[in-house]
Amino acid sequence: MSTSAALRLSNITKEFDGNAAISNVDLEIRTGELLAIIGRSGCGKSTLLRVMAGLVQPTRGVVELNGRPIAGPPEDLTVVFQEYGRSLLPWKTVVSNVAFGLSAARMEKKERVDRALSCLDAVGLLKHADFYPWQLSGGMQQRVALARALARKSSILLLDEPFGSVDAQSRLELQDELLRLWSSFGMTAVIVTHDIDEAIYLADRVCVMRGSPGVISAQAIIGLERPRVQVETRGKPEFSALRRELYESLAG
Amino acid sequence: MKIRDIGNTRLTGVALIIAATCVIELLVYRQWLDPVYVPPPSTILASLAETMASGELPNHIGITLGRAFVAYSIAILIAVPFGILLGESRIAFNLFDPLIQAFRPMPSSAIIPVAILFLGIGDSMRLFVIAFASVWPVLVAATDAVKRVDPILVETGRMLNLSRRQIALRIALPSAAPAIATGMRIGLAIALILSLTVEMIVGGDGLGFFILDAERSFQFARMFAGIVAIGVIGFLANSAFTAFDRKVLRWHHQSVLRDK
Repeated sequence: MSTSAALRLSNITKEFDGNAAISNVDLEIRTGELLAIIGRSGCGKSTLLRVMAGLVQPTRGVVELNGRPIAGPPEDLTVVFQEYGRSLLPWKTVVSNVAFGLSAARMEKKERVDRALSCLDAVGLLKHADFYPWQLSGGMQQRVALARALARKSSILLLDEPFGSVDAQSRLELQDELLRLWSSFGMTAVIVTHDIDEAIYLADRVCVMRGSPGVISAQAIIGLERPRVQVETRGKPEFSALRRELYESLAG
Repeated sequence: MKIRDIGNTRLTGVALIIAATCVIELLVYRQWLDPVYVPPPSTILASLAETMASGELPNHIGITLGRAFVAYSIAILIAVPFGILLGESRIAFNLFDPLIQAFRPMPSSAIIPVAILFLGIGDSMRLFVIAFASVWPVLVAATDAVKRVDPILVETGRMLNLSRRQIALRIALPSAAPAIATGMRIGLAIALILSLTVEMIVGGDGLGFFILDAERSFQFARMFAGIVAIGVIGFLANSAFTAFDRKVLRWHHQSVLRDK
């Protein structure tokens, strides 16, 4: 049995008005893996993520989650969007936003709120439970989105350039937060980014997307030991070698 | 308070009204305006006080406001759900939008003869005309606001496995609420205007009738007293709506403030 694939994409093509955004993509994401997909803006990587999430129906091809084809957004999967400010409900407090992630679940309200609070605790935002999203910094808002994903207890986490629009310092902190949550909750994660260093630092494997329509043109296995530590890991010679390799794959 | 701070308060607006009143009083006193047609503001205020005290004016005002309120409520109960449907469903939009665009620019007073033909001159006709007029701004605002709901927010709802209905009620409706409130505010003014217009055309009772009746019997101070009452009602209605809006949509006003 080779069905340790959490997500399997077979021959995925997505066209918008007859123009292909991605073409014939085959990709397997193993259970527990942290996969990064890198590429330039407009190469179709966000489209690919939305296809995986069941938010966009592929023109051709099949997406399977744990061996079963998906028809829409599966319950066992959560997306963290780049546009954190637009993905949280501005009329709900932080704790209500996290609990809102459980709207579709059959649960008592108290149970929802309790779980939301414990997940806020896990991302260090318990003190901000009664704030509104727009009262928080970008990095904190993205932590709320992470807490919402945790509350759903999804086994698969898809992140679309999640730290692209926060400041550099918060960005590093959020990367470590993601790694901590990923390893302690045993999730499978796919992160789309245009930042080569971020991809190497986080991932077990990096896929390179290129062209128009986008295809997966190369991949690299990241053997850097875990746990990873920002300055130390980034200073290793293997890190530099991977950066060079991936840079050439992107540019060449 | 420093002099320059006064400019930041609503006191300046009140001062302007008082100053204008004094100027008119003076113009009439010096006979630059004909006191027969423009009674001095002091006389108008006296007439206002008298008709208020006798209970005559409050009675008419109550009738006018009551009709406007009932018809406005009906308009909102129709326009908000229907507007959300039109914003959510392309099929419904394509089906109804041409009809709506044909009806919307019709002057509401032009509907009155038709309404009288079918509904007579009773209350149901009046309510129909007022509701007909005030439904459009709310309907158009609701449709447009739902169409403009941030696609990321809708994707978030889908990703969280919400049903289409849940997305409409729990995501589209609240995020469209500020724009719908603006449409409702315009609708409120229109409801008051049409309530008065119908009374002037059809007569019977209400503040509109009171004003027209005073004019026809050459009691111009009474007529102006009625008009002043309209101004005060308009001001109070708008203030009440603003207070309601600030309370219910606090999140919106504060988040918008923060973005600036």
